[in-house]
Amino acid sequence: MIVRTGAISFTVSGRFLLMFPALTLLVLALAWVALGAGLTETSAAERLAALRGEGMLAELRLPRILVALLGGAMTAASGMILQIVSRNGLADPGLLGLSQGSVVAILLGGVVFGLGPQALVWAGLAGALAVSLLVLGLGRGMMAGGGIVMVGLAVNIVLGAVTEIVMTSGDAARFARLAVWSRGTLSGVSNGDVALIAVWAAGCLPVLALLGRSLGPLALGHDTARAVGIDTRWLLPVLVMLAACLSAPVVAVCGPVSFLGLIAGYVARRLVGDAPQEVLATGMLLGAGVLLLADTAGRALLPPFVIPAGLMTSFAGVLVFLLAIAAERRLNR
Amino acid sequence: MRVVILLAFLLPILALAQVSLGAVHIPMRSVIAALIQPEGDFLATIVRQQRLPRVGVAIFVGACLGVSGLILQKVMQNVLVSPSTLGINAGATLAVVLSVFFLGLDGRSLFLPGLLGGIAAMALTLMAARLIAGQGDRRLDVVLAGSMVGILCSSASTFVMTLDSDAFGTMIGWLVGDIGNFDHLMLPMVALPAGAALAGAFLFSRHLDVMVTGDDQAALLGVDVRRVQALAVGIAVVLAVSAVVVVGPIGFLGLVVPHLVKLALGETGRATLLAAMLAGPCILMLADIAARVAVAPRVLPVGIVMGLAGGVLFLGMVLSMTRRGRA
Amino acid sequence: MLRYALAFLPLPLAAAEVTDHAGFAVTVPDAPQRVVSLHDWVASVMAAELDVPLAGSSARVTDDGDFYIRSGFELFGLTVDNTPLASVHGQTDPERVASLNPDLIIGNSGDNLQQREQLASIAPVLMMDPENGMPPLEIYRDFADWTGRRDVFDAKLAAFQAQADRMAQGRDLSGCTYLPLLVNGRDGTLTIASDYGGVSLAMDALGAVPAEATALIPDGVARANVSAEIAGSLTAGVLILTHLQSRDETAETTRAEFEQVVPGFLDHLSGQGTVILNLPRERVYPTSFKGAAEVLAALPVGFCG
Repeated sequence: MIVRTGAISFTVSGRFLLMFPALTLLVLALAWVALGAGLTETSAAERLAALRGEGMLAELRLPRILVALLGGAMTAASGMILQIVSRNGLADPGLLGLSQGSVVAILLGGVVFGLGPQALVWAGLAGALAVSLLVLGLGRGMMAGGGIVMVGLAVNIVLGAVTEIVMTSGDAARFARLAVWSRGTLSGVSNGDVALIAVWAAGCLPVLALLGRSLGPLALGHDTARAVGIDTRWLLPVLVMLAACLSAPVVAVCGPVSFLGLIAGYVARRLVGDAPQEVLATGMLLGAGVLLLADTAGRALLPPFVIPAGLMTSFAGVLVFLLAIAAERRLNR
Repeated sequence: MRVVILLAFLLPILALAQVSLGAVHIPMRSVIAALIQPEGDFLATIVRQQRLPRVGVAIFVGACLGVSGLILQKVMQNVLVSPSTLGINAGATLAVVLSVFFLGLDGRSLFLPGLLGGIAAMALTLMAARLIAGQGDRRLDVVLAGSMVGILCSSASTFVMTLDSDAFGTMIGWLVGDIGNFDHLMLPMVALPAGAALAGAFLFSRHLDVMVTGDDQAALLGVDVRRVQALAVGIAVVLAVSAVVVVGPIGFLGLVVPHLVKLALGETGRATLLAAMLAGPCILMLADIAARVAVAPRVLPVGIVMGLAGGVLFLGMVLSMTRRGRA
Repeated sequence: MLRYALAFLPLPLAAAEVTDHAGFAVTVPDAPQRVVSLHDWVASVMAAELDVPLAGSSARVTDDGDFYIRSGFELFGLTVDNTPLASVHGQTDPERVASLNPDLIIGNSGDNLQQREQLASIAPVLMMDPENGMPPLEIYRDFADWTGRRDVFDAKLAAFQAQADRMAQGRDLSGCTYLPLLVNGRDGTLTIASDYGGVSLAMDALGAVPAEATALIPDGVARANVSAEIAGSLTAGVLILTHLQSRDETAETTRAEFEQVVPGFLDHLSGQGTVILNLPRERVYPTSFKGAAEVLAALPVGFCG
């Protein structure tokens, strides 16, 4: 299907036209439910008031919801960019080591050098960039076949050991605290964090939209991309930097959330096909929805316990992921 | 065979070094004196009651993990699998954390829950690997699935810890894998299952060797592939869990040892098992010595040192493997 | 809806600005009426002793899945039935705190610093750090100032000091050293503490001084982990060991663990005339005059003689 609006025309698949609005509605509905979920019963009027920034909910629930939506979308986008760059459907900022790179830099910056939250984002970004360059550099020429994911896993293991050195340098309470953050949690999210994430999202997403057009040829192979006149020499590094910029602020605020990019990309491709821009848009919606669902369920399902979002995503995510693949197997049989 | 003899010589040398180094440095002469003389001073007490048992633990754990990794790699025909990359360690750890907190279990009774956790995690990994299949190299699927299961289990462990972190005050070292001075008290509890598993490994080494030729070939040679696989995996899990219960999840020993053994001796024969049994302790002792010397006077948990070194080695293996695969 | 509205009522006119242990300057009500404590075995215990009106306290989870206010229960009978649950240890849900409608929140810097902004939107938040290297009495005095209970605190302190003076019987105990010591039976390490709540309160009131080994503890923290192999160099007039009663430990558990990690160490010290106390950690780790009085009562006649 070809959509024309004035001078601009682009091709859109029918599935995408169906899926994207449906998912958007689903995520919005989920956000509405999340705004009402929690310890106290919340009327529709109170939720509307919260959306206007009034009342306690605007301080306590709204920031978490906004960070979950933005952070989920950004992490998913980061993962899907990496999937295209590495030409491997299993790439993910967590699996390739970007998140762990941020974690190490942030832990060292915060615990050893005592940096403030703003500076920590930059530290996290530097860590993510350093690791992405390392992983992509080492994995050069073995993009396909999962080699690069293995390189990422290996780098993850080394960085995980460094994290543990910092974690074990105190007593049990401190160990537990750092361990929870290093698995991802949204419990500490405040309005300041929303602003921080929003600034990075506002900076990154236009770039992503600009580069979106070149993703299609790139997904078909670097040679194909060059053949249609895309200069991969600068495009690839820029995309990797973009992936790092998308994931680092999220890690700084809520710690690394595992598998979000992997799940979002995988499910999105099953839903809308292979056109990278459509997969990216769908996957970002999915990432936002999954993280919001995980965090909301974590805080509302078993009060007074608060289950960290990282644990919920790795639990629910792995489950969903497996179910999706199993269902697909059955369909194909 | 030369390799085995070499390792057999290396082991006591490293053991002496491990005894000598620590918070208080004990000169080699005093170590030997403490070992020979029946009565001794304060140093002799430290040597005999604390450091020597540590060596015992290192030998036990090293042998268990080395052999466990070797068997797993043989039977799964995958050089990237090991108790840690398959999620067995993390599963056993979660089960132990749960039973310490909710059942109030300690030392004596942790083996069984650990075993159940290890088996469950392994099963989950294999199931997940089958489902992910088709994204490229089959051998990588298993490792990816293992890392998913590992992250899941360790997230759950940390969640349980937050419920009352004071209850885990003495377990931090164990949680990241460390040889404590008193871990040897756990040895009698796991000696029986681990010993039986080791004996089983030697007994069935012929059957395992046939597996190296590939499933089809093995079936042609009259081996009941499924039964041998189940048996081998069972032995490997028991060995891995025995080690985890004593010292916590020490990763990558089970990955590195088989790799080195294979470089020196190839894959088949009882000598490879023997070499794995000796190489495991040697590497673990080296790591333990490094953990004590690297940032002295502070001491790092040996599990972290193994993670650092093992991760770098794993990286090297992946790089060489994929490069070779391409050529 | 009403409780959200209540939270935005103006603070009482009489209000003072104080600086908490994380360095935040906070305006607090003069006499808070609904205090939520997010540190069960330090802040909740202090609140209970100084009659601070507790609107809620954090609690831990026992192995049966019940909630339990460590030390608050043992010393002052606090349970989640008489003191509403404000959070599960380490997992603070700000909404639950908000639902208790507090006018002052005492957090602990270890667990709640990340959530400070959220909590501050509910009520003034003060971060407490019980192991920042300050003497426990100073931390307790801060708490009394924060909660407008300085008069109660001073009265209790004076009564306790009198009790300690009677106990000292005019002896000069500045040569008497004390050492709180913990043992880790798994990795064979010892933890030496300089400031240990009720223990320090009691021993300092007697005029005793921390043992020489506490010099090993870095500034700004209250304890240090050392290898058991240095046990030979540890000396003290009074050695204080503890055990966690709520995890089914007994004095014997701790003694056995010491015997395993440093065989003969306790007997060796006893032989030198060291008094060894072995007390429930729930009662003496928190800073309270009640727990400190129990430390005094446990001391034998003529200790440090």
